[in-house]
Amino acid sequence: MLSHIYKKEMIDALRDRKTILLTILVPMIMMLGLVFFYESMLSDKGEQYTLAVGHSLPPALESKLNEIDEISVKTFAKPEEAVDEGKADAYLNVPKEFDSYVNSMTPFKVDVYGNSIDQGSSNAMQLVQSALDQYKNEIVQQRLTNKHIDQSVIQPFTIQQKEADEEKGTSAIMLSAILPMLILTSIVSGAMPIALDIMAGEKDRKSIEALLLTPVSRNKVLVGKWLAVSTFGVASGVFALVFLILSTVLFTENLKTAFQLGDHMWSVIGASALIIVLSALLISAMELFISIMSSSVKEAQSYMSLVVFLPVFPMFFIFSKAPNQFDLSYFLIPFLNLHALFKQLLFGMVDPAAILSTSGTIAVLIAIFFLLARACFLKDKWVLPK
Amino acid sequence: MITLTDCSRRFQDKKKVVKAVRDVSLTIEKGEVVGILGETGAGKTTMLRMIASLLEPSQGVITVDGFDTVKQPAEVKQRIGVLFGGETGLYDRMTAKENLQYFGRLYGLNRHEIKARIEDLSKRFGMRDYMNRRVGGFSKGMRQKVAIARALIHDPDIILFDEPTTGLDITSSNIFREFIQQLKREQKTILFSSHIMEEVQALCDSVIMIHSGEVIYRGALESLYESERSEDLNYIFMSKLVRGIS
Repeated sequence: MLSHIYKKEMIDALRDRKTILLTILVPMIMMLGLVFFYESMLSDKGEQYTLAVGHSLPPALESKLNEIDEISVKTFAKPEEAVDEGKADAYLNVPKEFDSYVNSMTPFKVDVYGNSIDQGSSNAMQLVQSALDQYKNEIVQQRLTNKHIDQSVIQPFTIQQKEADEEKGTSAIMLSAILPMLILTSIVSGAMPIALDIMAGEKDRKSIEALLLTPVSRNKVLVGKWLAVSTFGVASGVFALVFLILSTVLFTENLKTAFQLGDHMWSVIGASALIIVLSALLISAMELFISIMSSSVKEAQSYMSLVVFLPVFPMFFIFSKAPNQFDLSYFLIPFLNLHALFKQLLFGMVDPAAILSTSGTIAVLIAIFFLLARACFLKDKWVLPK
Repeated sequence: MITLTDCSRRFQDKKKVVKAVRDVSLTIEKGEVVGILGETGAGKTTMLRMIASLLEPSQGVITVDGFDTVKQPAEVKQRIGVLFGGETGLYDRMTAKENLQYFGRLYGLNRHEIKARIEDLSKRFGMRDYMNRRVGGFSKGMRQKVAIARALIHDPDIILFDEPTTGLDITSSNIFREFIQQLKREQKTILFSSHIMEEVQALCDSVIMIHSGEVIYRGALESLYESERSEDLNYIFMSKLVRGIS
């Protein structure tokens, strides 16, 4: 009997254009847009910044700046205004007597003017700052050599910064932030139309009465409907994941390094599948509960906004955390654990304790929401049209 | 046979308790066609919902063919076909045939039984031309016919209709009335609520009159005409109401 209810709900939902749109098309567009956005953030090619100057620069400094591919130096009559008006990204103000000050060892000031709120301006300022620092060091070294002083006097040690995983570090951070968010949002939006239609919609059109008049137990009706909603949730989540992987691998250069999972690939895929199924079962139970509690689709829609924000919100708590910083408590807090687990998986960390804790917590929450939904569904007050 | 013994149903409306049905005791025999008359909110739908095992009585016992509506709801539902008026409650994205097939399965019929019942019902109601069309595009009359067919898909012995001709055009109403006559000949037990007195007079053997949840009359139409010295059911109902209130 369960299979008849499930099958009917699936057929009914698949014939609804709104469901198809929210399950497949919306995640697809969302995914593609975000992939390109993050790729452009990671990409260090193609960006060109204009550095405004008020007069021609000393040749040595100019050649130093010309070594930076992204920077092109341009002279403006009013360079500060050029930055304010967006004609240049940054303004380098050096005194005309630059060379003579350097040669006479007279201290002087160099200004770098820009707008830190603007990403392009901020990048240009950083590049100029770093070129100036390098040039400053070269001058100091030259002065020490002239005075026959060893450089080690002012440089007791050198610092070399190395990334733990240079190739995939930044891309994995980016993806670990967007992947769980996108998958959970897709599950929420994919399951929502059918969850709304299957209970609140049935009350609206009064078909629930005819259904409850049949000898099928309410438990079976509820489970059949929950499984149908969950199927759409799972399909939406899997679709989002597959589409994200495909669009990243096919259309990006930098972001795709995050998917170089090596020996862990199958464990990561397995764990991701488990997370998607559990998340879909949980989100479906939550949406179904809301749908039962609401007297109409319109009322249910307004309550559903809670479910939309809940899975996304925890992302902000772990965005700046490294995957090895998560202790067990992170995996015991619902939804936060999904974000933490996805982050670990993307960094190739497969921790059975984390997977078990996350699964256990989500399973408990599934049971709570399903029992709440069941309690309401068994009461005439919540299911029968007034 | 349907029996209601000392049956009441209360609803909590905000802070107030509303008694929709009050201490009703009556019996409906097999093959009887009974009309339920009452104003809007008199308790007709609540009574039908309790008999159909959709609502539990707050007090008392209801049995259908000997099965308790609270303790044995599945057995009761298997024997009853129900159609509530107003909204037909069909699935718009499914065809008329798919709607009937789905409910046939829920009532436990096998594939052959469903096929035979759909064939019979579509022929009886003249629905053959649109059985494979999605219900979403149907007129009110067409929808009502499919809803009636759905209520009868499992060939129940007891049929409950709540304002069944609401929204139907004259032709569809006549088809429905003819169908009730046919069910009557098949010895089905029929209980239907209506506010159309002519319909009740034409189809029923007996009536139940309800006012504020209480049964103010239960008996054969013939006896009612005799005792009231009138065959105008509308007049009889109104005078019963006035006497009931006073």
